Amino acid sequence: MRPAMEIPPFIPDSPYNDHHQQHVGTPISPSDGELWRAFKSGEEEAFVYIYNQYFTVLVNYCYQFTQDKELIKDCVQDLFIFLRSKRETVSHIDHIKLYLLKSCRNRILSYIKKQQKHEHIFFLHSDNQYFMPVASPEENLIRAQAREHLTYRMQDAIKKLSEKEREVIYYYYFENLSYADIAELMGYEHVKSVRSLLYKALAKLKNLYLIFLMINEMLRY
Amino acid sequence: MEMEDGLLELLTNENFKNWVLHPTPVLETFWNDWLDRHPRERDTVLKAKEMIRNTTFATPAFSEEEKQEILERILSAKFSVWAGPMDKTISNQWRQLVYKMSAAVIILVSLFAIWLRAYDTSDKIQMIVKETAPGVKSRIAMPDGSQVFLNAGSRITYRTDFGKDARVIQLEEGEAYFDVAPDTSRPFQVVSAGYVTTALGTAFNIQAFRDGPRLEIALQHGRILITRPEEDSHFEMQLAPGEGLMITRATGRSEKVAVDTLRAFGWKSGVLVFNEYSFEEVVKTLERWYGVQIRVTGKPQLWSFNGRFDNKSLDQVLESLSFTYDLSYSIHGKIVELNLTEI
Repeated sequence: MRPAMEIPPFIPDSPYNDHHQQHVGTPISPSDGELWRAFKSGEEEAFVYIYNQYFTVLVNYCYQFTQDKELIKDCVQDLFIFLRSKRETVSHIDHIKLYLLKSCRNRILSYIKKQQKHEHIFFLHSDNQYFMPVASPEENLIRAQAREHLTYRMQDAIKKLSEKEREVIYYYYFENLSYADIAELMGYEHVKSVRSLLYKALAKLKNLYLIFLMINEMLRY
Repeated sequence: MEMEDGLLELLTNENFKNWVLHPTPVLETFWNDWLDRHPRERDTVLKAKEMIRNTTFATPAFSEEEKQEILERILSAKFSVWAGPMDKTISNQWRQLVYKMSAAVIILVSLFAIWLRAYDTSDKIQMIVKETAPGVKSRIAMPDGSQVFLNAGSRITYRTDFGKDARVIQLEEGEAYFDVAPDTSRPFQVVSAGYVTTALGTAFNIQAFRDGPRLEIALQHGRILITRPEEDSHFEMQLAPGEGLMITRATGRSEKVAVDTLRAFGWKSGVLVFNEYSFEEVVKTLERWYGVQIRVTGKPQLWSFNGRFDNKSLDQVLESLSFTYDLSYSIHGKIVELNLTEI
């Protein structure tokens, strides 16, 4: 074992790792709690603010489950219509992003199920294709111009992970959620479970990535 | 192999991730500082950064028009939609009531338990008081291995059974630096002016002079949580290394700030720091630091004094003050005459 790197300690399962952690140092204006209260009291601006703030996060998230853009639109639209119609009875929330992701996940999964039943497709999504880093054609074009090697290599590496591992990477890096948030989203009781899942996924990624770097180095000479 | 372990350690560290994805001045300072101290890890840091930045997922391209179109449809929708499969957060009045009642029962039971304990042992437990006079600093070794550095004119108290199952210190007056011995089973708590700072293994500074305008809590390393259990049960603030909390006494407003290391921790090694201090603050600080009494004649003007004095004598400090402001002074033992000349 190498000596500890003296990076600020992460304390698993401590009361400090609640979902406020990701906000440390980043000024949030207004706070989620205030925003939600304003929304509940009927302020339309607060509602529109929440919509504008989280639209992209939610459609991106849905896209991890289905590439059907119409279905994604329906999902996000219905989620917000539902919220707006139930503003008085929705309970207080102080982490809006987490709440929306959670509701969105349930909704999109059931929409996909319904659609598959309707179209008699039972097999398409059964082989764990969620959270696949397949870039859209436009994105591919942009990326092809710069740093494409690393991005593609990371994408290839991520594809080799299991679905759960891809999911945890998505939350941790792509959505910048904390361990505690991820535990809640993925239904783990302990933050520790998230950490060990992430650790496993990253160990695989790291190996694939380092191998790539080595090959690159060799090719250079 | 060695490098790879470090790489994994960085990749799973939330502070590191936040720095790469959403750098803030505090994180920026912290990690640059960290890199300076660990030059050999530079390559590992670069690799970890590259891996995080290149982690991308497929995203759909929705135009701004599409986004606004959907919003309009949402805002004009009159019908109610299907509630979704498991929107658990929709309040269930009964369940809430049960939760509230069980919470009340738990609180009552714990209060009773605390009362029983307090009653049971109150005749055996006494308070220990450690105090420093003006001009004197001291270091106190606590029974649990933690160390407390007391600045001049400060006072802490703790129970004789400190460390038995809790580690609680009252900072009743002044300023102290706490170097906490790690022990996850017994959180280390410092109570000052109603604010409770809870730490595991860490080092931090609290300045809470009664006659000062502010309460300042600064974290050097580790992690601390600040609460106000009596005045405001919702108040909860976490500090990361290099962050500080500044509370204005008059308004009760608190603000997270980047810590000026020398100002917060320098006093332990004899560095006196003034940071936009008013005349009154400068006088009070000098009285405390040097254990003197300052008699002022003349009208003080608006001061906003900045200065750092590394183990300097009172004479040297006053001399440098007289360069900035129109004043003359004379030192007679423990009495200092300060004369402010009017312009």
